[in-house]
Amino acid sequence: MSESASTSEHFCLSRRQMLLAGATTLIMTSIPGLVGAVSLKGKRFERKAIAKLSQLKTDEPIEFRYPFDDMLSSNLLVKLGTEGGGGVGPAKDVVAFSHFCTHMGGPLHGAYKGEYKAIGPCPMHLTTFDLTRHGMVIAGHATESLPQVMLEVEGDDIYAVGIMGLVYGRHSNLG
Amino acid sequence: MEKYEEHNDHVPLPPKDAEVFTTACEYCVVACGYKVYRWPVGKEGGPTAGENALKADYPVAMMSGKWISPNQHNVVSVNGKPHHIAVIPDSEIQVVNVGGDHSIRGGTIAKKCYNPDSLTSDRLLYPMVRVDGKLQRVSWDVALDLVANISRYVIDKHGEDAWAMKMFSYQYFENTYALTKLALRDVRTAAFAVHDQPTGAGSDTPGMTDAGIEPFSSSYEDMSIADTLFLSGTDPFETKTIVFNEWIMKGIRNGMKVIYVLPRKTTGVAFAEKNGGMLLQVIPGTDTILQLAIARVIVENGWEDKDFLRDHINNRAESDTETFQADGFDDYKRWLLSVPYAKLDEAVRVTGVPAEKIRLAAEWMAKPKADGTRPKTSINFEKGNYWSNNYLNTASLASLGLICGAGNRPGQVISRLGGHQRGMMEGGNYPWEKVAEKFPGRLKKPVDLDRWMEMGKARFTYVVGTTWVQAMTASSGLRESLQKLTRGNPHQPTSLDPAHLLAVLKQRVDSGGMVLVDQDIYPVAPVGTEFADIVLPASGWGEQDLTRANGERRIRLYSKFYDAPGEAKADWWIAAQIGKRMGYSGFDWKDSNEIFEEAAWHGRSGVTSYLQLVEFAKTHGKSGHQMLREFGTTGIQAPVRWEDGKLVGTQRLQDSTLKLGTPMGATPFTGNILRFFGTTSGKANLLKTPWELFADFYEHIKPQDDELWVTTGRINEFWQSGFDDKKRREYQKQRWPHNFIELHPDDAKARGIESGDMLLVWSDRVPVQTGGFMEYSEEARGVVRVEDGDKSVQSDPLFDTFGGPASVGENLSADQVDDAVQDDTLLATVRKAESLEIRPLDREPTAAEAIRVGWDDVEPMTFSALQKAGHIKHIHGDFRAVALVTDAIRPGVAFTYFLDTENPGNSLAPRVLDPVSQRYRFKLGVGRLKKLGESEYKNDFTRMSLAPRHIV
Repeated sequence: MSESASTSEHFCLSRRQMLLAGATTLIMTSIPGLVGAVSLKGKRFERKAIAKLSQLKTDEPIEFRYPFDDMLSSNLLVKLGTEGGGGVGPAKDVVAFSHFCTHMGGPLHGAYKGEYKAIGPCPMHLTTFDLTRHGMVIAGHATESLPQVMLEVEGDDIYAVGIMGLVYGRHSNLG
Repeated sequence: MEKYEEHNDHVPLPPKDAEVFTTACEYCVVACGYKVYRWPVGKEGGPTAGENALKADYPVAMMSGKWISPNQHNVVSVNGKPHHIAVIPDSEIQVVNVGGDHSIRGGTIAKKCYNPDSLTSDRLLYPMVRVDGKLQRVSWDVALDLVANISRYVIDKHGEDAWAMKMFSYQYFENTYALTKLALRDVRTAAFAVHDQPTGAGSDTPGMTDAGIEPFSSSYEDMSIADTLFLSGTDPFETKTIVFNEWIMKGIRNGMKVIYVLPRKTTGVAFAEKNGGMLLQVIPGTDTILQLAIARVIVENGWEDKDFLRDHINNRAESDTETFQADGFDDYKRWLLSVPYAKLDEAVRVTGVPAEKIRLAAEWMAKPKADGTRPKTSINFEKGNYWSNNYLNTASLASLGLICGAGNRPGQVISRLGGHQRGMMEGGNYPWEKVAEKFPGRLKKPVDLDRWMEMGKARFTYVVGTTWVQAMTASSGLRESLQKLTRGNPHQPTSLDPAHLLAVLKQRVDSGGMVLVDQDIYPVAPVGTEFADIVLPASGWGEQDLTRANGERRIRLYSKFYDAPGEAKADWWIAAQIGKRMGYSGFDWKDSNEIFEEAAWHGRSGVTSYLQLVEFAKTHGKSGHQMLREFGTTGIQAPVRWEDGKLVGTQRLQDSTLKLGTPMGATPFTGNILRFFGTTSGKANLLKTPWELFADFYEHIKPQDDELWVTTGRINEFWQSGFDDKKRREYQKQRWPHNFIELHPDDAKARGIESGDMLLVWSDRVPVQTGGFMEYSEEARGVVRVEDGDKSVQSDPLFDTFGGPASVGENLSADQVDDAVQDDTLLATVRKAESLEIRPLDREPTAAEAIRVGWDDVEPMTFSALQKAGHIKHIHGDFRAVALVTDAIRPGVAFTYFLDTENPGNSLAPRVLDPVSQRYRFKLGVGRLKKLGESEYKNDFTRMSLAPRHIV
C-alpha cells in the first residue's frame, strides 16, 4: 500500500537527515496529512556494528547491547519475515528493540512471539508490543512504545545508530 | 506560558526541594495512589539519590517504581508561573497499586493537565451563550443569571419536573453534593439522571440489592484469597487494571482458579486459562441461564453450603419483602429444579457453553474437597453481566453465590468490581413520592430521562460532565430528539442582550422546546458544541482539593496542584451560584472542605460514610480535608469508624467475622451493613428469576439472517468517551485513531473482511421504547401509576443500598380508572391495580409464576405486550469501525468500543428498559457489516496495531 511505503520512506529520509545533522540533534518525523497526530522521535548515538544480515533467521531474535554495555542496553534484533516500521534489509523486515518493558521494567528476554510479530507478554504484568509498528503497545499498561533501536545496513553489516524513546530506568538515554 | 518542547528520550528529574502532593488516579474505580512532584521551570534534579526528590540513583532498577516515563511529565501553570510536574504512581504505597504499579490511563495522567502547547489546548475557558447559532463569550454574571432566570421560569410555569438534570455521578463528593442539593433538595425534580443510565435513582444491580447484598462489599484482598473466583462480565485486566495486576494475578499465582464469563477472550482471560482457570465463552444475554444451570448442577449434587444456608438465608417467616424472594432454600431448589431452562442440555443450547465446562464450574465453586472442607468461592461481576439483563442476571448471580456460601466472609464475597469511582454524595433525596411507574410489588421506577426528554416533558436540562447522546442507547435517535428540541426550535437568540436572551428562551420553552446548559471541561459534541444554549467551563482533577472513594470504599484527598485554566470554576461553585441566584439557601460555601464536612452528615449512614473522620478531625483542631490529606495515598476505607481512640477503616462490608471495637464520637457508625446482609432480618434472600420476563425480548433482539451480536465494552487505553486520552493524548491517539470492531475469522471470511478494513456497522431495527409516564392513557405498558402525593416514602433511596422504598396498596382515582377503561388494553392493568399488594400465590408456583405476584400482573410489561400496545418503534443506527479479525471473540459476536464519540457502539444498543429496574440492556446490540474498503491504517506502521489482545 502506498501509504506504508511513504511512511517507511519518510522515516528513512529523516534518519539520513539526522545522520547529517550530528549526534545530539532531535529528529522528528511527521506523517503527511496528519496534523500533529503522529510523530516519531529518535536520537543518534555512536554507530555500532551489531550483526550481519546473513546470520539472521526469520523469527529467531538475537540479543545485542546498545548504546552502552550495561544491562539496560540489552536489546533484541529480529528478522520479522514481514515488513516492519523502521525495518532494514532487502525486505525492510529487520528491526531492533529494547528488552525492557516500558511499564515497570520487566525483562522481555525470550518473549518474542513470531506468530504475531510481537514481544510479550511481559512476565510482570503482561504488556505486549507490536514490533511491526515501532513497538506500539498492543495491550497492557506501558505508557510508551517499546524503545526502537534505529538501524542501518551496509552490505551485510547491520549497524545500530540511535534510539527512539526513553529506555526504562533511565532519565536520559545518554546515561 | 513558556513554550516547552517534548523530548522523549529525556525527562527532567524533580530537584530534591520539589514540592510533593498526594492524589489518586482520576479514572477507573480502582483509583491508584499517585504523587505529584512540582518544581519551577528552570531547575532540574540530578541523577544521584542526593540530587533528586525521589531519592533514587538513575538509572533505576526494574520494578523500583521510580522511573518517570516521558508521558508522566508536563509543564503547568502555578499562580501564573510555569512549573514542571511529574505525576507518578506512589512507589511506597502498600494498598491498591502496591509498589507503584499503574495502568496506561493513570500512567499518562500528567498529560491530562492543561498545557496550551498540548492537545489540551481546547479546554473551555469562559462561559458562553449561543447567539446566531454560535457560542459567544459572556461574563459569569450574565451566564449564571440567565441559567437561574430561565430555571425559575420553567419551574414556575411548567413545574419542577420540566427542569431536568443529567450529570456525572462520580466526579467527587463536593461537586455531586452541591449539584444534587440543587436538583433534588431544592428543585425537587424527578427528571434526574446520571451519566451511565437513563435514571438517577434505585439500584444499578437490583438483584443483588433484593438479595440483601451490598454491591461494593469486598476489598481487593478478597480477590486474591479465594480458591475459586467467578468473574462475570468483565476482564479486569482491560478495565480495572490494578485489581488484576496486584490482586487477581497474585491469587492465580497462589493457585486460585478463575472462571471468566465473557464472549471474548482478552489478556487476563488468556492468563487465567494458562494457569488453571477457564473461560465460559457465553453468548451475549444468556448469563441468567448459565448461572441457573451451574446452580442446578450444584443442588442436584447436594454441593450447596448447608451450614451457610441454614444460618444466613431468610425464609418468609423471617423476612418477607421482596417480589422475587424464595421461601428459603428448599423453595428455591424446588423452583430451580422445575424450570426447563435451568436444565443442562437447554443451557448448553442457549448459552453456547459446553456441558463439561458448566459441570466443572459447579465443581470448582461448590464441590466439597476430599477432606470435607469447602472451596472458598467469591463472585465478582460488572457491566457485561448486569447491563445485558439487569434484574435477572444480578438476581440469579446472587443466588448462585449464596448457595456456594459466598457473601459475608473474607475470600468469600459477592461484589461488583465497579466502573467509575464512587463519588456520589447526595445533597438531597430523589423525589420517589412523585414517580409515576412501578413494578408490581414494591419496586418503584424512577423517571427515564431519555424518554421524558423525547416526549417533550423536559423544558430545561442542565447537563454536567457527560456526553449524554453517545453514552446512552440508540444514540442516533437521541441525537435527533435533542436537535429538534433545541436548534430545531424556531426561538433562537440573536443578541447578547440579557433581556433578549431570557425572552427568547422563555418563548422556546413555552413552545415545547428545551433550553440546554452544558457544563464541562472540554467542548462536548454534540451536546455542548451543537445543542447547548449556555456553556459553563468547569475545573477538574488537580485544580481543586476534592475527595471520593474507590471500589473498596477507600477515600482519598485528590490535591490541587495547579491553576484551573481561564475562568473555569469548580462544579460545586457553579451549582452554588445558580442555587443562590434561584433564591435557595445553603450555598454559601467558602471552599470545598466546607462542603466535604457538610456532606459528611448527609451521607453518614451510607457505605461511603466518613462523618467520624470529620468529627475526629474537629476534636484534633483539623479540617476534614486536612485529616484526609494526612492519610495520603493510603486513605481510609469507608465506613470510617472511630473506635478505641483512633480512626478505623472498614475493609469489608457484611463481614460476619468482623470484630468491632468500642465506638466513640457523637455519631458512631454502627450500621448493620458492617456485619449483616441488608434485609430486615440481616439474612440474605434467595431470589427466583423467571426467564419468561426476558425471553420474548431476547428472541426479538437476537441476530437474524446475517446479523451479528454487536456487544460493547471498554479497553485499557481509554477512559469513558476518551475525552482525555483518545482525543487528547498523543500516544493514545496514535494507537487508536479510529474505533475498532473485533470479529471472529469465520464471520470475517464469510464477508470478505480482513483486519484493517473499514466497516459500516448498521441496523434498521434498533428497538426504542416510547410513551408512558403521567398521562394514564399512555400507560399501556403494564406500569402501575403510584397515586400522586404518596408520602409513604421517607428513606433516602439513592443512599439506601438495600432496596427502593416499600410501597404497597396503590389506589387509582375514579378519573384515572375512567380514562383507563377507555382503552381495552388497560383493563388488566386496572384490575391489577385494584388489589395490588404483595400476595403469595395460593398454589405451587408454575414456572411462569415464580415471583410473588401473578403472571397476569407481570405480563403487560413484557416486551411482547409493549410491542402489541405500540410502545416499541425501530430506528436506524450505524457507526464505522476498523476490523480486527481475531479468534479471541466467539463466532457470531462482534465487540466494539461503546463510547467512541464519533462512532459509538451504543448506536446499535436497544433502548428498551428492564421492566423491573429501568436500566438499559447496553450490551445487546445487533447489526450487519458492510465493507467500505481498506482503512488508511491497514498498512500504516505508525498507527493502530492490528495484533490480537490475548497474547500470553
